[in-house]
Amino acid sequence: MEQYQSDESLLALFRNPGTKEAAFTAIVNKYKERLYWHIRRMVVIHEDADDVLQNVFIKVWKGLEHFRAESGLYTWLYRIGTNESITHLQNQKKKKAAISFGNEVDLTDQIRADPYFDAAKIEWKLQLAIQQLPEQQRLIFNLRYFDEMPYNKMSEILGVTEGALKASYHHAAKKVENYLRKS
Amino acid sequence: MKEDASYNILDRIRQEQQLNPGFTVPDNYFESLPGRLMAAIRETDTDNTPVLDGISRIMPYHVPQYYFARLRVNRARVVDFKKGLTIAASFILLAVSSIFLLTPRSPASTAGVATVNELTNEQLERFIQPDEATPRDKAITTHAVKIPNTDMATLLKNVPDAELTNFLNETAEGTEEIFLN
Repeated sequence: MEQYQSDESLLALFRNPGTKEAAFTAIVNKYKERLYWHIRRMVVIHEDADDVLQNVFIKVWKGLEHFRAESGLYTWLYRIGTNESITHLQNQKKKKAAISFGNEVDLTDQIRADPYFDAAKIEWKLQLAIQQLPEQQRLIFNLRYFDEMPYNKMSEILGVTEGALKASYHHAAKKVENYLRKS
Repeated sequence: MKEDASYNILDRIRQEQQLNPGFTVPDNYFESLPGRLMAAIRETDTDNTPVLDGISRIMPYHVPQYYFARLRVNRARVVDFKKGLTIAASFILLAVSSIFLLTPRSPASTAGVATVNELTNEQLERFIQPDEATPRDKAITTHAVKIPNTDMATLLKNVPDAELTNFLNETAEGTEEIFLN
């Protein structure tokens, strides 16, 4: 298993021009998979997730020097990843609305179009169920269910109170459960 | 007096409300409220979702082979808009100046400029307004035009008529072909 340096030491290395690139590469290696999956759950398609991930790390490269470390690096990265994913989805909605005049292809269709999609498998059904949730509930559900992120971390990332997050996750989980029972 | 009257009105309303209460609550509503609230809180905390809990948290999505191993952040994309604009402007400026500097000027045009510079204002005016040309100028022009005619006559003097006719016919045929094609 790969050993990663602490965020503090990586930040210190990044601020040193001589070790900046090496530190950045280490940050990318440390967080690339977690961020990728966080983004992929939101945008569904691999190519889109790759594009968003690139944008996230480019923003990290540009902004890390001015990062004040008031929140953890992990929280900051997730926040950028979340914002970039939401921006990407909004841009896609705008594009599709402009092209198809309302006949938009939603993420459910994109899941079904996945070459590995198997309607009989419960994991795929879960993905379809998640797509029925409103955007914010979907985000909260993904962070809590798949990343098992504590509510206080989620609160830092999303800027929502822990109470509101708990209620939102509860509603989302109920909706998903009902969808799975019916299907 | 007024205070006494209002007191009486409120007192009467209170008495009427006691007899016919406007709003009602279900029986034991307030008694059962704490218990129901706690049950709702417990439900939120425990998240009783048996189907969901039985599903593996592994994502079914696939990632291309070696994607994470080969992931490189393309920092070439990190070009500020202002920087990009400056670079583009520099390229355009460079291209325009090189076209201007490296394109050879035609000697004919410079010669023409030199010849025009040698003319007097009077000659230039006459060139612009040919109708007002003086008889002397007309004579010069006629003479200038006539010279090639005499030259041509001299040149063709020794050429037999048959050859000339043949040449003209061949040329005419060639032209036709060109037009036809």
